[in-house]
Amino acid sequence: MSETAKSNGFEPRIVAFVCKWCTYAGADLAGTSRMTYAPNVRTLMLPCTGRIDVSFVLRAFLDGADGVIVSGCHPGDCHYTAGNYRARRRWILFRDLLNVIGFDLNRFELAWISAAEGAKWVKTIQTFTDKIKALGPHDAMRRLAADDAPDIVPANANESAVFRFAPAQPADPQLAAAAGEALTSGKVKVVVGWTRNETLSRPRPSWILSAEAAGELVAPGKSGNLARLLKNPKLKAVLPLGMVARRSEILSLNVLAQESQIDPAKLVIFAVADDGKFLGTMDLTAASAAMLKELPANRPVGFSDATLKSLDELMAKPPGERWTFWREQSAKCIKCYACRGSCPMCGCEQCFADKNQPQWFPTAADGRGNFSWHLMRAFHLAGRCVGCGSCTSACPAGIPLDLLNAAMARSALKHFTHRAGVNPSDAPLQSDYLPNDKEDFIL
Amino acid sequence: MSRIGVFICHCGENIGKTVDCARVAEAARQLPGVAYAVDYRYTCSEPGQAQIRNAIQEHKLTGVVVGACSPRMHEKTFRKTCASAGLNPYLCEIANLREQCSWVHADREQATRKAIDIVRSIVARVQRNTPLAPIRVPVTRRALVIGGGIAGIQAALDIADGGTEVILVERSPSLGGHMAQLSETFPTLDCSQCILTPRMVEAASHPRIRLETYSEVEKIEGYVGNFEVTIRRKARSVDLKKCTGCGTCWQKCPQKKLPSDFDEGLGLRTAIGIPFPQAVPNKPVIDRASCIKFKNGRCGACQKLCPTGAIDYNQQDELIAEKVGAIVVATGFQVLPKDQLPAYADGDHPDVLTGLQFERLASASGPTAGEIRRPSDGKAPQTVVFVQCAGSRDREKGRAYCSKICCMYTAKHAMLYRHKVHGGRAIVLCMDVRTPGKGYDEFYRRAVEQDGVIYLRSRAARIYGEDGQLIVQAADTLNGGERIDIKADMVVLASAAVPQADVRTMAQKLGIGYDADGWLSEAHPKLRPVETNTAGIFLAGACQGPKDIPESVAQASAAAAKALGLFAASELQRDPVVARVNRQPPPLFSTCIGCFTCAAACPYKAIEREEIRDRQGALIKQVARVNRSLCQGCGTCVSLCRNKSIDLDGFTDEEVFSALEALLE
Repeated sequence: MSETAKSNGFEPRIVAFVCKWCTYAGADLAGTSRMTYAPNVRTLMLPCTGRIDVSFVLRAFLDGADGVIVSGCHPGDCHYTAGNYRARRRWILFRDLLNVIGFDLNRFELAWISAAEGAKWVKTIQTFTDKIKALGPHDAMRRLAADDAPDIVPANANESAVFRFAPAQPADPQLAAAAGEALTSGKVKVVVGWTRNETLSRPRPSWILSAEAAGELVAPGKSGNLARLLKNPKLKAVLPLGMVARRSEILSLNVLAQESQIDPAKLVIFAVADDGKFLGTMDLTAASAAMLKELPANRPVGFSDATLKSLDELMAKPPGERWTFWREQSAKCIKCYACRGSCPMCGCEQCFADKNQPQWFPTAADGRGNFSWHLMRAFHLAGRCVGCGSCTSACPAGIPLDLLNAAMARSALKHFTHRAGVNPSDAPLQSDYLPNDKEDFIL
Repeated sequence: MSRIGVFICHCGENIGKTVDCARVAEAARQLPGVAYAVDYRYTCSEPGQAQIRNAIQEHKLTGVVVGACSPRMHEKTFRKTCASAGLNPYLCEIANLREQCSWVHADREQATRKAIDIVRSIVARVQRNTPLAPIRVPVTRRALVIGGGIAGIQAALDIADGGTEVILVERSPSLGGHMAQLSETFPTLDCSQCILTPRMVEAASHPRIRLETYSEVEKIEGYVGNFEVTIRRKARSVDLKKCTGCGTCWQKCPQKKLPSDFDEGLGLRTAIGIPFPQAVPNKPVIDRASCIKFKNGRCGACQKLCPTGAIDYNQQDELIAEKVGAIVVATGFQVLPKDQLPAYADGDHPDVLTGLQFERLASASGPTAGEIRRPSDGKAPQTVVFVQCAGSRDREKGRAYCSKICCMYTAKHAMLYRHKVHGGRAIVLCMDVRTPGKGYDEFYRRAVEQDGVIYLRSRAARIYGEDGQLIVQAADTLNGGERIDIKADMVVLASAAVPQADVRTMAQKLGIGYDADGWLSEAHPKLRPVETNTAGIFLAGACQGPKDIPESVAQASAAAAKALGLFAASELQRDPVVARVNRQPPPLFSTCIGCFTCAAACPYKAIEREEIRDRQGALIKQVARVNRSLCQGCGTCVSLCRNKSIDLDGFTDEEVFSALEALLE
């Protein structure tokens, strides 16, 4: 594919992911009716738009597609009753994410085309092909390849990092007493909390198994999220389990409970306010009621004001600058996966990034692989991230991951009034749908 | 090792004129994994298919790609061809070189290049295909029919005559439904009970039909071939095994002045009794809400007088569990209550009747022994106005549809009235007269020409009483819209047919859909009128939409045929394009972490929780499991799974990935 082909007969490569029952049939109808359109599109047929993973779209662009179209049955007409509703929700979120990274949304088209709408297929394809011809080849994704890396950007500690490492402070004595008592009485078999890190002076996530060790507990401070320790299957099995929990832990625990990863009936919460004050021993429901009331309704939970401000500043930049920003940031990534390890929601025993049949995204720490990783992780966290900031502070390369997560949390709130971990009876954001989920971009 | 065979079809000139098929075949030959590539004029023909079969055997092909018309045309054909040559049919894929290539692109070079790209993509894909075998679902050879009206009875009889056991559930005390309430039926004017009751008796005495009257379906679980149904046998207060239907109890019951539902409020009944004389089963029910014994503990006459001691005041509802393989829903319709038509005397005037009430007046076994009498004063009405479309075809009232049966039964009512009250005037107010059936228009012409029924094209704007006189306000629209106020002695409204009041609750129990008006949804409005979107559940009769008796019977037989089709083999065979959760060796067992994001999204509730336990029985983990009898293969779960633990056989991630990668090479 020639790079200079922009004005001289550049033939775009366009991939269309379509559903079998509506759009594919509509495209066939266009053929049966002998309508003509530009030959640049190549169609991949799937049973339903619900089957179309965002990875497919991302992969298509990474492999050199200049434009991608996704099309399926109109809402209400899905052959499988509701696959396209879930697809719609997914695309609303994904498009917002693409926008944050400065992707040229003109290259990604979505449409509802029914089996009767051969003419609409033709018009959509022709218009899109003409548009892509005018835009030229899609260089942006191609240039993410390692051999085209920007100048090395120094990897500093994250300037928008939510917090700094602060020395451990003694725990509220009532907390230690409550924890000790719970262990003695057998109300819990383990208390997951913070103890002093001997090497560095900051708090260290840990657990204690006896009342005698209760004196080792320190105040949580501002860092980390203990809920991630529940990814340890041996620890998770020690029940009943007690946890020293601030708001971020409570939110995370609610999400984990919704995803059947923990049984709230076997959890005891030692609730701690942001200032370290012990609020009491209670169950998850009571702790949620105590710590999640009066959350401002118009902003995502958990993320700091500084993060949201940085996000606003980023979004005020033109898309091209945003793209450059993220290209530079992801170039710093060394694929240590500390972000994944520190995140309580990243609990998959085998992460999609480690899958090689097929290997959707390169695992190497190169431009394309890094970019894909961060994008997909942010997308997987849409509606689930509680804004604790662990990933951002864990990243040794100082990549502002919280910006991507905050953007997705904002989208979830704006489009679907969904906030992670606040309402335990919520269905998972991307599994759910409303017949009137709103969007303004699907043709 | 891959040995793919590629067959490029010219389809005469359809593909061959625009796409250079020989060149496409040559390009295919060069692809890695392709053992054989050829182009041919008409691949779907007998010699074309033979070419594929021979190639499979001669070149030991492990997969086949046919570059031809759309897979929606001939995928089945070519898959059958491969199967007949010993190659698993799911190892055959179609490249669409016609509808989406040669027919839509004019330039030969570009179309050929596109064809090469498409073939390359499908070749890469098919190399990842795995052989799939149809899924076998065991089938319980038994059917449930919900609703004992004419449709339910017909469906039950047809299924039972087809050799299968049927449970027929009816919530009122007797079979018969609305048809039992009719006097005569159009277009023959034969007596409704006369043609219905033999069927009722046949259903009651059929060796393979088990009647559960005065019962309702409480709960339905399971899936096609394997439904688990809970039926509530409501307490009749009568022991069916002892009762002989002698009738002593209801003849002696002191509570005689209760309004009769069967007579649409025009007649009376007792607290214990059967709904109508020809009831099947001919065994009574105590209406506990009105019975003196249940209200204040006194009376008990029926129990004292019953010669077999069949009265049991302590009888309780009973819940019984049954297993069935197919369900036919025949729950019928009801008639729009008069109070929903406030312009028509507020629904309150005794001489303004619904069509069903008129049926009871006309019926020989009705409250007036078949004589047409005004409920207000018992006199024979001399002028009766029949108002069509009462509540139907009225977008503003929220009911835009036509109720289908009213034009015919209005003509019938007018004729019956004229037969019974000679010299009486019958005036029909109509918008049109819709008589589409066999003998229907002739019937209506008979009403006009032989029985002197007067038809005026008008809606009834208002019906009201003035100084004891009922007045119908209309306009003769075929004569310049001249206003006509008719002094009527009786008005019969052709009230809209509406769904049963609790249809939505029942549909949700069953997991089937309904439209905005509440009629149950068929799977396809033209081609699948008796199936629903839920496999194994079928529709019959007016619950799917207003219809007359012949259509209800036809639909019931169709639903029965579908149910019998399910039972034709001892197993159901299903398309194997379904989802599957991976399993791995211990200690992982599966990459699934049991978050059930997939289960929350499945439109068919086809994903269950599975517990993986060790040999001592301790729980290791909970994972998702796909019910292969329910999964329809949409793949929504696959795209939602974050760690890709679930995949869709036939459209796996590997297959899609390979197709995409090869496309953009």
